Amino acid sequence: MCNEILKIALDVPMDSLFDYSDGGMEVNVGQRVLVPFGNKSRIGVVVGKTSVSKIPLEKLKAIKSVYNDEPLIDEELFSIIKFASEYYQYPFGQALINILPSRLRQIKPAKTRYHYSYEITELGIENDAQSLPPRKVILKKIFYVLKEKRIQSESELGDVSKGWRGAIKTLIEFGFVKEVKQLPVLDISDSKESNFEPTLNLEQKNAIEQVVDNSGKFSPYLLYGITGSGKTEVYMQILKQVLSDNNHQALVLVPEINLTPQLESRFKSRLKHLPIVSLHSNLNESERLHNWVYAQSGKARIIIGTRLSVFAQLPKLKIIIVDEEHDGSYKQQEGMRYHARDIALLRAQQLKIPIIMGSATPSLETWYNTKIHKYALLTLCKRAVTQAALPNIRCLDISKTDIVDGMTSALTTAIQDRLNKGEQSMLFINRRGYSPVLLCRSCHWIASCKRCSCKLVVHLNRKILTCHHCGQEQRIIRQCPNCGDADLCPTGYGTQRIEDTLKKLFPAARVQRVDRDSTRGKDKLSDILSAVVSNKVDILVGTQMLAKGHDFPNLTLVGVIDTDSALFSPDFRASERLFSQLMQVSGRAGRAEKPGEVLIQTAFPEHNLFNALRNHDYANFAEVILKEREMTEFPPYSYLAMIRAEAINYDFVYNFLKYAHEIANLESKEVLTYDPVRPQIERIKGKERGYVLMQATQRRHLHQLLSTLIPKLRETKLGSKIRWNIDIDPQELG
Amino acid sequence: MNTLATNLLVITGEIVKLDDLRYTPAGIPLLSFVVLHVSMQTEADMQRKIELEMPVFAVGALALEAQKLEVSDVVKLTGFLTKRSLKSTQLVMHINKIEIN
Repeated sequence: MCNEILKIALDVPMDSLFDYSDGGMEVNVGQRVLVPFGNKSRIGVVVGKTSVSKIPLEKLKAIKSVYNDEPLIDEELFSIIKFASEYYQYPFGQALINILPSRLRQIKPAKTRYHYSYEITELGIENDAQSLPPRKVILKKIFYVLKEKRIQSESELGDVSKGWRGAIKTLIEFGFVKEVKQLPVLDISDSKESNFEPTLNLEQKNAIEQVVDNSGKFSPYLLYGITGSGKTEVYMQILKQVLSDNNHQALVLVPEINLTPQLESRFKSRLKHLPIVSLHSNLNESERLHNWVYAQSGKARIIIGTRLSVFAQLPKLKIIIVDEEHDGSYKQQEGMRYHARDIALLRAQQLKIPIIMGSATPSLETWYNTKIHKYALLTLCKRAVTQAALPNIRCLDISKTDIVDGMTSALTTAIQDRLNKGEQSMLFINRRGYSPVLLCRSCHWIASCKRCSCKLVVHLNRKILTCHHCGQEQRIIRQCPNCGDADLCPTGYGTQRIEDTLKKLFPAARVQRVDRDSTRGKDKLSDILSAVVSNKVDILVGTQMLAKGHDFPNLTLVGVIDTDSALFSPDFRASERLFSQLMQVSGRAGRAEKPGEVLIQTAFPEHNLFNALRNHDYANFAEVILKEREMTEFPPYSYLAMIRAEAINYDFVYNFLKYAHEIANLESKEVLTYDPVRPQIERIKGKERGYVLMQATQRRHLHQLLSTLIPKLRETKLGSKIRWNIDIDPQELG
Repeated sequence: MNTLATNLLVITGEIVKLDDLRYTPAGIPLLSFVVLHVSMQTEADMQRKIELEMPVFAVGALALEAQKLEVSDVVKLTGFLTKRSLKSTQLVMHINKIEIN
């Protein structure tokens, strides 16, 4: 039984597995082990066993210990990771260890720990803060919260104050509060399912039927449904039917953490009989481990999660849903740069199960695949609420009308009109802060970041200038460092400035800003969103955070402040992204009975993008863009890979990239490798950046080249002074 | 640049327009107003009538002081001239002293 040789995956940047002897312990494939590595110990996962090793037996080190009582990682997950690591040119061990929840990466047994809540006692109710030691602000704060709410969980207390633990300890000593120990449980209510069942239209019924009839084999679908056409309802009905077997599991991928709680609560209220867990990076370590283990054990039936959950171990997986499949957040931007939708497709193919990709504005890659019949197309072109018409979209030509504080008079009139009717408006501007530029009008000096090649953004409410690339902050300078003028001029518009303008124009209206700054802190966004739904907000102004998935029945006007900058972007995907963003934003208007209106301020109202938008014609827009891509041989008509590099000195970057470029040209005639170039933002955090783009009409050629190129790049000394990475199917150029 | 180069303007006039106090991004108060200057001046031994409107900027403590002024107040201002902005040819006065007549 003993002294077998174990093949172990470790989180080290090397392509190989590591051989260890089992040291007389009984070890299974898929178990976590602790191994000596150099002069440290590391966590590894046993991937296989062998009887031969290149290392002589006497030199082979033994593992230190094995973590029993933990579920094993299964063959299916190994094979997915293996494929992903080869496809994305990333070491297998690193890929495997890094998809595990952080608790499983730590050197200790992973136990889902107890959860504690704290409840106020009779004594605590009788006493007031007077009987507590004086001058303890946190203590009193916690005490008052518990007096009011009776019982609070750890995370709730954490939201009240970071120093809650000390306060609770004192309160327990006083006998004012007691600890309540709970084993984490999946909350499933007993009732079978919700009574409310909306009537489906014919398109929805057809879509559901088609998927359910074909379950049990690999069948990819694009569920192309306009905004408000009831895609979520289709998902839920499909899940209900596919999961009617008591074992089956489903994976539902969503783009943003912010969307997860919303979808989760909708699923939970409708599919009450099915245990649902979520997996995303906003969970704390133990929640994540807990949910991961539930998924792995097969107890959780529906797993809703962001991109990382595509690597969750799901032994009974029978269907995958990828909501908003076009969304950029499915692409991982560091480490192994995988695309969760593509991994999901691969998983579905290997498991021979259906996968549904839903979107109102599918990515061109996916759209193209339906055209060549690789994916089946399911169309929903009617709004689910029958009275809800598609919003009327109009462009306001800003080259012909005056703009005051970022807004045309047509837009302000439209907002006033909604205020009179008691309806809500939403303004969309994809730039947070007060203004993107601080300009000296006397000498045209502009405040720019010292570490990045970009301008500093004015955040007037906090009186700071900040760089949105490196995060550095400084107080707003008193005078121009170049000429001394004190009257510096914030130029351009951000969410805060539009918020100010709205408050000035409509002093009685309740204005709410939604951007990364206004939604810091747990539950802040969901609080805001529920305030909107319960009509406590008249005007919303925000960034793309507002664009997705939200359902505000009383919102009838959407105003787009300024999107023209996206029309000038050098990235070939910019117009595709802008279109889908505007389509999504527009979709927020008039989702219930009231008709919606969308007003877009632009200097290019005749641009074909806006024409397609006005007609709600994604298909036509996609045709035009696909033609462009075909002519320029960009995806989906070709496959891209990108080598990015950065260093303090650009010479190091250039020399490395030049070397990569030379080898690539030498090794492959089929792959077109472009010269090293600099991205739009040349320097970030003091690092000079550059990249080489590779393009091939066949994926095979690209990967053939990479398999010889990457090892050479890992070896070269030119790489020692730089940081570099490889991005397969890059979503953003630069 | 010769920092001692002379740029001194002393002018009296009546306030004809007074803007609201505003603040620079760094929080320095700033007030702009316009004075109407009317006088008789001598030029080549000839008397002539002068009438002009002068845009004026007061920054910092002077802005708070100027805020107490009202339209039709007559003031004597001491300060210097500069351009309104880089590409503008219009001159504006920035002040260091206000005296109320």
